[in-house]
Amino acid sequence: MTAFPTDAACIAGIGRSAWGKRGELADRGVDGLAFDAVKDACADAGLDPGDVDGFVGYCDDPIMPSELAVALGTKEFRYSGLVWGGRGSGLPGAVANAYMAVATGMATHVVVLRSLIQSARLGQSLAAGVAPGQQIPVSASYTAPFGMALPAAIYAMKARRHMELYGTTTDHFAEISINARRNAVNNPDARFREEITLEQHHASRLICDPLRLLDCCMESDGATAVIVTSPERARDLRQRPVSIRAVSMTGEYKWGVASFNTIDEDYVSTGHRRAARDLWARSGMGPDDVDVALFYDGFTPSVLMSLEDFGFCGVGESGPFVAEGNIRREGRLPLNTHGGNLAEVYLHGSTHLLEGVRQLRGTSCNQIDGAEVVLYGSGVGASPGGGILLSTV
Amino acid sequence: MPDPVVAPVNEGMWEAAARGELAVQRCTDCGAHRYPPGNGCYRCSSGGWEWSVLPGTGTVYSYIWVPDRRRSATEERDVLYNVAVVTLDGTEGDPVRILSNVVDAQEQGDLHVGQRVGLSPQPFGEGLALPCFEVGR
Repeated sequence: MTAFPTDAACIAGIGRSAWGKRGELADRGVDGLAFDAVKDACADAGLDPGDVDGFVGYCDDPIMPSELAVALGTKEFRYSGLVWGGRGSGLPGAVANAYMAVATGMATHVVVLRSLIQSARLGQSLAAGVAPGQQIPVSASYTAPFGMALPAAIYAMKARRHMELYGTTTDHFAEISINARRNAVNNPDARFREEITLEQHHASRLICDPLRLLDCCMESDGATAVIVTSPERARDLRQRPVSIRAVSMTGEYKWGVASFNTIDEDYVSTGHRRAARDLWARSGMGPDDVDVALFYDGFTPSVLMSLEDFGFCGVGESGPFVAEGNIRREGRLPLNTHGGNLAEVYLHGSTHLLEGVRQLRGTSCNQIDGAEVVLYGSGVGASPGGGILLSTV
Repeated sequence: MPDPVVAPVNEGMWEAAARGELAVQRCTDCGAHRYPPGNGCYRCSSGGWEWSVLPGTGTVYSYIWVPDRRRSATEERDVLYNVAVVTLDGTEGDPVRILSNVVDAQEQGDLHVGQRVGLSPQPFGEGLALPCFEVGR
């Protein structure tokens, strides 16, 4: 197999729409929010919106790129790609599509998009993408009839076994939320900027044992856009380029849709052990090279499992790892310095990519001195998920 | 909860449960059992399969407790139901796990990882049943 072409594309612009609570931005619509986010990203980059010639999305993103292209004044429409299913897992796949389109010369400026209006309460949906009252798909016949409906349930089931095998506790889950809130205090764009205590976490409403309300992110409306282009073109634009060193979207063996029949050692994980293997191999880097970690944090236990999947600690050791303060800003591995899904806003991990770019530009609200390498790890979802390594140029 | 979607790939399982049996797909080429129902064998890729009746017993692999909002509305504290992943006895190949309910476990503390359970079919539709489990066997 040929060597992976590292650093073949850069992020030249980041942007966002207004953000709101679930359903609050329904009048603007997903297309309006996407338009706002792309315009914002183009302004950030100093790019004429008409020069965007590619669109990539993930997890069944609802926008229609062909319409968006007209609204933007796109002169040439050269690439369009969507990653199947999975909700929290697909962002690395979307970035991979943009990366490959630029690296091959198929397109010059590809925008990675996420646009959401949470019109049906997700917690009430029977399966991802199914509105209440709609028939479930065949694949949901083995989960929904048994009450496995909440997204939290998938994480809770893995969390319970992780606790059983390794002695992980709800105090460890709480540290993920506490860290997120603490970082959000300094983020003027964050939805939840008040710190929380361990006691508040444990007293919050039971969602799905062992998970409580403060283990869960809150559904949000909004859109983000990231502009991917070649290193040469990025140098000519307004911002300091951020290099995409490598991407992986490798799934776990037999993960399927529901993951409960994956092999034993992969069950108590976010399913990224193999994605991590491929990411480190492609990039020539390892956990010790990472300055800031941005892990999908829809629910607290997956952050612990991501730390293990990517090799920042041994399997089963993530509880003590976070208890020692390692993920705090002052620690060895600052994590979700923007507050993440839990405290900033929940847009399926897309905002983590924005924070990664800010860290490498030196413009984060919680800037880590000398940050040169940032890792994004995606959430649990229908395989594959994956990872993205960003670095300064 | 919604009923399953009954399809050729799964109807034998719901029918077996209604007869008091636990059946999963078995590959007719290499003999591996698998779940959930699918079109091909994870081990050898064969599209040939048959229904295979298992002992009906298993071990709890993990579990969760979910507040039943409808029932909890009239109670002082949360009424909970469980969802459990059960590793099934008597299978060939990788361990086969099914997601289901342990219907006679009512309170937190009634379930633990490693607990032994047995088939307890729960009827749905016409002449069909969900393969659920109970502790008491």
